[in-house]
Amino acid sequence: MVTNDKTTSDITKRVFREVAKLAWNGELEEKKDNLPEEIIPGPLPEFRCCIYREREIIRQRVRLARGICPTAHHDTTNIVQVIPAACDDCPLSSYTVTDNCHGCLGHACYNSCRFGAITIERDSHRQIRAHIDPNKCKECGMCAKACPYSAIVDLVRPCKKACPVGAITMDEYGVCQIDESKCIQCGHCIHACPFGAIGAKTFIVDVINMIRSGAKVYAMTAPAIEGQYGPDITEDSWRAALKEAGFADLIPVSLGGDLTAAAEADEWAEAFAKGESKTTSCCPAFVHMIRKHFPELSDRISTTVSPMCGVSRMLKEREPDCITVFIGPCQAKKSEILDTSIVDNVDYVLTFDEAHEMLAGKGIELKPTDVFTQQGSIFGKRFGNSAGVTAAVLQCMKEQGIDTSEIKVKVSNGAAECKTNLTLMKMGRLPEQFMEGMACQGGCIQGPAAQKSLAELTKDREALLARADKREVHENLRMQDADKVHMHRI
Amino acid sequence: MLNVSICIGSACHMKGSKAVIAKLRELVAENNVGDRVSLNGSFCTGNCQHAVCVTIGDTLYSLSPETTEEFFNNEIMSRI
Repeated sequence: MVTNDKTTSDITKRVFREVAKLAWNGELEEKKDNLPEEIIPGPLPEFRCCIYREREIIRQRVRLARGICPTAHHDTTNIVQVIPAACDDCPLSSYTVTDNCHGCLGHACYNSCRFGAITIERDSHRQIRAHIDPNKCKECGMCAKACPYSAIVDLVRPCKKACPVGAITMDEYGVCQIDESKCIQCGHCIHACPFGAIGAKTFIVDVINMIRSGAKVYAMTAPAIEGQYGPDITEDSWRAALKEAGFADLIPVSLGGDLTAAAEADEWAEAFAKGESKTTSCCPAFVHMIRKHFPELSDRISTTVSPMCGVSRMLKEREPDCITVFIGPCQAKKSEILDTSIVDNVDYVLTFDEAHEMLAGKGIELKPTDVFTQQGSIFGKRFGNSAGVTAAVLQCMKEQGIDTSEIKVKVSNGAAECKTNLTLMKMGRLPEQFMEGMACQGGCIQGPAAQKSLAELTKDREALLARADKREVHENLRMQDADKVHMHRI
Repeated sequence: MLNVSICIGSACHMKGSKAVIAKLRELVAENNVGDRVSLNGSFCTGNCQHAVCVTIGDTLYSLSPETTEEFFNNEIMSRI
């Protein structure tokens, strides 16, 4: 996958791996302060001005990997955190005239600006050029569209551009800041920053400590996992590797997709009869978007818990003292477990990268296997695709003999669509009664910890999904003895 | 709204943070103060020797499931 952040994501993974290695050996407290020098041996810097800054960045990354804020003086509850030492303080001005400006006579830029922000002047080389007064510019973008030479560009910071809810600003020194009252923890900014200056807290050390304490720890992998590590790495590959690391077993959350779909189908059927509109509740970033930015719609959120929570409840009903760990493509899931009102939700959340490096820290690799087990229906397995939730819920209704031809669902694929459709819902102008919301475009399979682009992923994922049989959702819940799990928030 | 954060890191977990959360949730419901008290989980704050760590504002309290009710009466009810 071609991304902005290949180099920084390799560094982040190295930090996860080294932290995990020390934690597995019980040496983290004693040796964590040596990591910056070990990872950046010097004497010459590789990426930044000097090795001292590179080492400080590593020190801040190590703190994040341990689940604490990058700097001690800025201690907040947000999952997504700015790594101040890594921020390049990139330019603030938004629309900028580049050297492509020919100083033409058309003046389309000047004529298109409704705020008087553009002047045509001679620059220091006596060339005629357009100039934008940043104090007058309202960032409407009309001049950039109007210029026939594409000479005006939008230099908005990549982090700010990636944020769907306008939560990113900067302090007086130009360092990125996250407005935590607005942040929905989607993690889109993390990979947008070409300097890797945004990261997220992790539970790697907590999970390792739990395993080392001898607790019975279950891993639960997101339905989005299939295909992320190629056509040969299956859920069973993960199960073998995680068991080698000390986990008791792996339960795929595709089974949770079945649980959530069945409960949500009952909820939708009831709402449909009453004429009430509902939104899905399984994407935590989407739920944060509603609670923080559309609070008047909070009562429309389905009360069904997420697939992750469903499987955790199933396991904790069977073994009350077990520890459950979700492994997925998502950062926002980490915030879901800080919500103490959801009983028996999972104890810890890791991203694919965090789990992968946690295993690597113990020298364990994912390997192809001939074993094949299926614990979720194909509908639960597709829960992580955009429109997958809708398909599964409608399937459950059909299985119960409900006529779904009148049930209209608006699938909102990605945060921008979610925002548009929630705005329409707020104004009472969304024609559909139900709304599926996923903050990542393409669904969870394109979450912030996705390993591949949609195009690269699809072939491998479809090949793995094709191995699933045709069992129905309710049929699978009976097969897995999971048809009695309590699936509502309270 | 009074924000009460309970650490869910591994050290606090092993000393009963889930039981502390359950007890606090029960007490909040019993006393009907759900609209004035917000209970949140938090990442490890590095004060593991005080587990279970509970914070209100900048003040750190060291709890166990057994002392939770006393904490609720003395520290939460007195603030709301």
